[in-house]
Amino acid sequence: MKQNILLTSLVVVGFGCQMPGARNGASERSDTPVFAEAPKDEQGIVPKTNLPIVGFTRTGAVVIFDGLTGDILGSAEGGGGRPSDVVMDPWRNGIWVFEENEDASGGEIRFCPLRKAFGLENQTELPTELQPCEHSVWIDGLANLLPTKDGLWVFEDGIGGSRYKLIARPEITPSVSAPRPASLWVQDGEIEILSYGFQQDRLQLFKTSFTPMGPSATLAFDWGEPLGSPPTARYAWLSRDAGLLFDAVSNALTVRRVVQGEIGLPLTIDVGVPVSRIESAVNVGASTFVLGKDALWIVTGGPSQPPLTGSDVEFVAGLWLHGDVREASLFFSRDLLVTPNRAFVGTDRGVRAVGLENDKDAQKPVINVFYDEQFVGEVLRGPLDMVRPNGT
Amino acid sequence: MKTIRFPVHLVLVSVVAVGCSQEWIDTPSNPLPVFGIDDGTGATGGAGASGGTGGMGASGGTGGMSSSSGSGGQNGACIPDPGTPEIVKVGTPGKTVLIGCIITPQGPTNGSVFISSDTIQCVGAGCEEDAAALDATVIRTHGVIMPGMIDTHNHILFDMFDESDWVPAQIYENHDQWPNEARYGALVDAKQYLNGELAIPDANGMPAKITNVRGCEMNKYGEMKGLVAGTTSIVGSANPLDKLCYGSLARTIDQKPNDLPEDKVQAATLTPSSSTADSVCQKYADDVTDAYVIHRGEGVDEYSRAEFDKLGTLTTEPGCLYAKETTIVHGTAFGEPEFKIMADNGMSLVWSPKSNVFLYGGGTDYTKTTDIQMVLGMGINVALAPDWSLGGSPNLLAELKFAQEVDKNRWNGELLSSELLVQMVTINAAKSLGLEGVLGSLEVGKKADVTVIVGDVTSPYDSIVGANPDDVALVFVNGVALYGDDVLRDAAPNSVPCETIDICGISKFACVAEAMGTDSDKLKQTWAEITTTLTSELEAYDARNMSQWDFAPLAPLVTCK
Repeated sequence: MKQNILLTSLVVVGFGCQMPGARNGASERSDTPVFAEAPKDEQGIVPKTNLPIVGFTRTGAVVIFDGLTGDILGSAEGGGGRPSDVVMDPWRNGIWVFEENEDASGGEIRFCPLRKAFGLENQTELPTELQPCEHSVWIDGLANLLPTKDGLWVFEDGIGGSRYKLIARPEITPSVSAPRPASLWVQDGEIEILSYGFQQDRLQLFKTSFTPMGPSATLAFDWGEPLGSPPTARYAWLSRDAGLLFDAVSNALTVRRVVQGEIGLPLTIDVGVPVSRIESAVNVGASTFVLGKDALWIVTGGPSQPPLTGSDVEFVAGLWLHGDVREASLFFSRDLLVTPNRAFVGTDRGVRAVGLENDKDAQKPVINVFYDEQFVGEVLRGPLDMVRPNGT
Repeated sequence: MKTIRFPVHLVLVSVVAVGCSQEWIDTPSNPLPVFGIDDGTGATGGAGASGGTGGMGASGGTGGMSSSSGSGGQNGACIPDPGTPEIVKVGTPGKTVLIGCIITPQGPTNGSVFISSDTIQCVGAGCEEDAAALDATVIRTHGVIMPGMIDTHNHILFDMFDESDWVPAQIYENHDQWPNEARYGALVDAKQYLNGELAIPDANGMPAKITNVRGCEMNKYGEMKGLVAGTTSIVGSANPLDKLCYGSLARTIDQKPNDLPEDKVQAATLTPSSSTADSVCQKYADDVTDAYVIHRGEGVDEYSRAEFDKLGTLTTEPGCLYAKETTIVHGTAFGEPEFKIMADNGMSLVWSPKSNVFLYGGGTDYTKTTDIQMVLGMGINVALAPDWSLGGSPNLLAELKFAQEVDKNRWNGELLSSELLVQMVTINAAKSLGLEGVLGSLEVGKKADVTVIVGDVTSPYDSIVGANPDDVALVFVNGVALYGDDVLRDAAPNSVPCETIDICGISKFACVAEAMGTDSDKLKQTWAEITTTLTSELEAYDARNMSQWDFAPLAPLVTCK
């Protein structure tokens, strides 16, 4: 039985039309899926699911679990460190993980190959058989990851400073000095990054590109000082030129609308509880999901709203997570994963599955938000990402 | 059979310290001949310490000297013993007696140190008389025998670089500014290339297993830079934390292969997340971590200063990192409020003046480093460390000299005595790592990390601070003589193939390869192999032309005077 545990009454939300694929703090719009042929010798090894999610267990194992039930479908041994990032790489058909060492002074990037596990009769299914993870590189600092067709972007910060580099490509290329990404968005191969600047005193939008000479990062917009200190702003992209910039100011959630680089005035959104920090903000359709320390808020505010005013952004619903979300600090978080029908949140007490449902009886579109009791995620932990088909 | 022969023209002290325990006792006669020459220079005062510790002063014109129990002070001296280090007797492997001017916790004193296996078994007078020491190798050092120095702050994987590879293009105010320089970025790329931080795929597009990772060699290069300057432990902050190849030269004290039962030292450069900070506090409570060595306040601006505040507020339990286990690296931007909190909570500070002045003072502004006068005035434990070779010092001996230079220029040379500086790289350093019960002083039961410096024993602390790498005559790590003057080669273990290297014109032995080493743990690599490998890899990196700058050759192992 589904349990509706909204903190506030539900409000009409334009949700559900032309949904993109899964999105998280590092949002990505996928191209049309391309499915590779499944190996012939893999008949029914693993139960199939339409919603395979990759994450971790509380003991640090890398797992693929069924997003509908929480059942673990495949696992690989953890690297012994603290899980920090995980991301599906559809171009190399595997999972990248970054695990911090116990000192949080560095860590290891490992690659866990995937292969299909459902046999020829289900060759359009997603690969869920997880192979053992192999060491890729050490990182002298902390890092976020983003696979692209060109290679694996590594956003790192350590004794070498804050730098972007591409690895897992045929040629080694130089890195580029650029501040840590606090939010990230990819569309048509272009990466946009919200950062707090090198000294955490600015809100800046960078656009990156890659040439054979290496990655570059160009400052596109500087939006001045963060409203909150320490900075905890997160950016939810609505489209290439528009987005919602959330911040926590004096324990209140604020939002500013951004259109073509211009930023509007801040609007405080009363979510009923103090907001000490924001870990992630993800827009899907007309709804934007904002992840706090121990709660998830859903607000309106899609691309159809008027520019440069936040007045159309309204609080819709909030969920206590009954657990704390890992602090991503100056990096972006992958502890919030939003798919068309549900959202997943990684907490220190398990992964929460949040059902999203349109109320067909309402005169206007209404979204019901509820914890899915069919999903058992106590042993699971973030960060999270969705398993996607090859080459997307 | 005892084969030591002592000069007969000796003077005698009436009270000597010690025996083979940590108790210092008065003895009516001196079982250990004390070397000295009646040169008529007059007494310099006793070295006796408290609690009945005896000591000895230099001889006076009449040839006699003594110090009564409890007399003298920690600024005392040893009696001159001219000569060069020599092996008096070759004995059973694993047992060594060092005779010379010992830097004890109570001060300098002529005497001996008996090492058996990895432990100091006896300190003081007459150790060679100990029954267990009768078959030991005996070395008369004619020099200063001190605790192995402890480097509490070194980014060791950068130690193959120096100022010929990068100098800041301007004077900076904090540590988040200078890494943006293009040339520094190119240097970081070179370091990452050698350390396997850049991966390429295999023929199938999968991440390739990198076979040419040189992290082990880079780490050992940094360890060797320390070892040849008398350093026996290094907080090197290299990753990963458990590489077996790190365990061969100086102790990688912040890593599991540190030759200690446990690794209870955590080192961090970045601001931790709240969850990480909470876990550190929990490790304090669980006695899992004895020292959390974290960079804070590196710079001269408010941005740097505020890092101290953040340390206190980012934990769920506010201020739980303001604890005796927390050691602040730098603190350059701190003032009285921050130091008061440190003092009130028993925190330690690691001072790296050369690096500070290099980055934030244009290399000459000595005010752009931590206000050590204030720090010391508040009673905070201070360790001294080089940070790295790149603008910092190549080793602790060089950093000692720079600290003295800062003292002369900033405090008229009145703040930092040589004795205090030596403490900053020995017992204070050990305290800052929570290892004062194991390392940092010559005391019975501690690990046998011992350094011998040749120099004037009548002012042993000055001799240490003034020493250059060629003055380092012998270095023991964990009871094993890994490095020293070639004439002392017989002190090295027979099972280890030691090499001969030249340090500023002095022939030295260096035992880098380990007899039981393998290809996989790289412990059988020789020093020649390590330097050849690093040189060729650095040249290979340069050949890729990834930047306009080249980084070969390797920074020199030592800088000669």
